[in-house]
Amino acid sequence: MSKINLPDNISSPQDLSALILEIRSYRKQLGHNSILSRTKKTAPKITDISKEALSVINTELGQKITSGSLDKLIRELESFHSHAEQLTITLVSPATPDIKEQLVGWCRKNLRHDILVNFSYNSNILGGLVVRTSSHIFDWSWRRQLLANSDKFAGYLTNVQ
Amino acid sequence: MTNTFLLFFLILNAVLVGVAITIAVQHGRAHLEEKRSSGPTTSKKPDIPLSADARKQLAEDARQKFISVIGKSSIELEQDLSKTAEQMDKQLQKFGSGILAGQMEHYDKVLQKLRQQAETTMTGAQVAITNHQKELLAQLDEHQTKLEAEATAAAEEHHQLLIKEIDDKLSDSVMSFLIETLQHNVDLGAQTSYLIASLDEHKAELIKELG
Repeated sequence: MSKINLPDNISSPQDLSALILEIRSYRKQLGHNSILSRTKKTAPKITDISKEALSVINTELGQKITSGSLDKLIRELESFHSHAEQLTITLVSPATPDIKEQLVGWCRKNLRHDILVNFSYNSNILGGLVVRTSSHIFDWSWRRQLLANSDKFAGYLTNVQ
Repeated sequence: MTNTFLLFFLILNAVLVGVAITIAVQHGRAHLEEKRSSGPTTSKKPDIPLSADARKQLAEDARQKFISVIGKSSIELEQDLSKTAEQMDKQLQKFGSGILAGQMEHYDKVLQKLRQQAETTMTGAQVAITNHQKELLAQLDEHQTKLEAEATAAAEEHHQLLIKEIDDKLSDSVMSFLIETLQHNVDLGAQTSYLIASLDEHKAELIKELG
């Protein structure tokens, strides 16, 4: 199990891939700047990286930001990407970032900290959520609950006064 | 029947033989009497010679006596024959009546027996017909009851099917209404707490699945 703790806004494999690319780019620029500084030439400004990437770098590496440490971080992130468990959560409409963070935060807190979550939407489920793992699908949507209890509707109807 | 006629024939023959014997005996006696009356005289030679006229007269007298005896015998024979015929007629009538009565009685008995048999058969047939009718009526009632029960059960089953079909249709209608209505304008933000609560409710299942 990986020891890296990703922020909750890095939820899906695509987000992690983007993060890895961004850190790789940062590492490359850092390398170039290091060479230029040795040649006492003015190093170009490092392109701003995202807050998420910077947060990961600062969280994992602290003050020891070197090419070597970045390479190690990149390898750990790639290992995380290839070994992490993945979930797919389907909601009734596209999830906002805030909702995504809450759900991903719950998953990493209660299930596994090294879990990646994909989000999709399907209006047919009416509400609730559908969680799909590698081998199982958990349907907790409102549609399934309505259809599962449709035979009780007649009973409720008879009790209406 | 054959034995009766044979017996009758034998009796008739016996009667005729008796008549013939009687006649013969009478003739014989008559002849003997005539001989006795003329016997001693003929055994002795007449001492006195008779004249022709006397002989003639004697012959005539003998002839007249013979004729009278014959006539008397014939009359007696005729009377006997009449009596015999009368008796035979009576016997015949008696036998005939007896035979006829016996046959009639026999026929009556046979007829009576046949009538009784026919009555018994008719009575038995009537009883069998009555019993069979009862059985048929009982079977008919049983079959009718069974059919009524089956029809009632089928109607009840059909009734329940219709009720279930109505319930299903109603449920489907409501589901379709809800689905069509809730598909649009969904506020996901309002469901956030519900989503978290659902995840909490099924946390154990997810942990078990993810190992």
